[in-house]
Amino acid sequence: MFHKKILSKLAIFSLILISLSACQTTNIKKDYSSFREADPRSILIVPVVNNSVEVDAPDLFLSTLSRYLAERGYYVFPVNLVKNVMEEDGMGDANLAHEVDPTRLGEIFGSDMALYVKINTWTAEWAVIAASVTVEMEYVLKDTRTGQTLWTDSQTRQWAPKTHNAGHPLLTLIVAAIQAAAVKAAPNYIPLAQQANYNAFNQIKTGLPAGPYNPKYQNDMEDF
Amino acid sequence: MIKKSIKVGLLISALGLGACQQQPDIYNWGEYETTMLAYYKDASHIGAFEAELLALIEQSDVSDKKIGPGIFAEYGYLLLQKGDIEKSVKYFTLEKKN
Repeated sequence: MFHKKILSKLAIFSLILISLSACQTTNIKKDYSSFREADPRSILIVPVVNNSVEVDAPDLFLSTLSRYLAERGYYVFPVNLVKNVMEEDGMGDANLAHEVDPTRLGEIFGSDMALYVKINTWTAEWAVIAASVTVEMEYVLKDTRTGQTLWTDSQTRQWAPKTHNAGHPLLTLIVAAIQAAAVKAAPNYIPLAQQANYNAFNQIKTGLPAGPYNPKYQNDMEDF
Repeated sequence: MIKKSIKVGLLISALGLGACQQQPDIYNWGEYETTMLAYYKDASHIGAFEAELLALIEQSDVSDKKIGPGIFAEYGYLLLQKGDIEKSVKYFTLEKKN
């Protein structure tokens, strides 16, 4: 009986712990003083620099950014239009575009901020019965009126298929091998990239303060 | 006893999770991201991207939810690329107003 009581208390406690950890962050609040002072309203997404070996990673990643930034309350310049205009203007090369003075971009597009993203890892590893997909990026927001850096973040996300115990050792092995082969054939980076973006921009204390199109605009001083 | 405590725990954790639930989306995005992604994977899918942009614009007339920023301009830009300057100006103007 005594044993059962302890067990039940443990059950409650662990569930509460899970729920807390799902939300609470132990992060230290970033310094938002220059961000608050700049009070930016719009974001231009600069072509993404690719430090991974996957050539199409930047374009694929580009399509995942707008939504998260816009939902935070910022006007996001149309990414496909910007990408094409920059290509026509000789800034299609992401490394070059990252070197351009941010205030020059501000002059061309009339934006308040520019987002610079570097993809450092975009890989799928595969070894017969095990597989994993990893993405890793760095985000920098610069003021395109002053050139000042307003915010930085980095995110790493990894995914590996869960190993299912099929009940029989050989079957379990075959299932794992099939899963690994599926990852090799078509590694799905996009959900990971989306998680990384969501976390980077939304996490309390480290994300982006709500912008002018978000109902929480200027009502989140404690969080950011 | 244990079952009951798990239930209590689940209830508490559900409340805890509710506290940091995602806000509902401000905008309607439709398949903007997925059709753009498909287009970037294979340029021949530009037609589907263009069709989705137009579908979103048409929905915005009847829906309370605004469409995401940039969508009018994305559509206008595709028209501009095809040489339809007059029509593209119309969508750039709509972008300004959105």
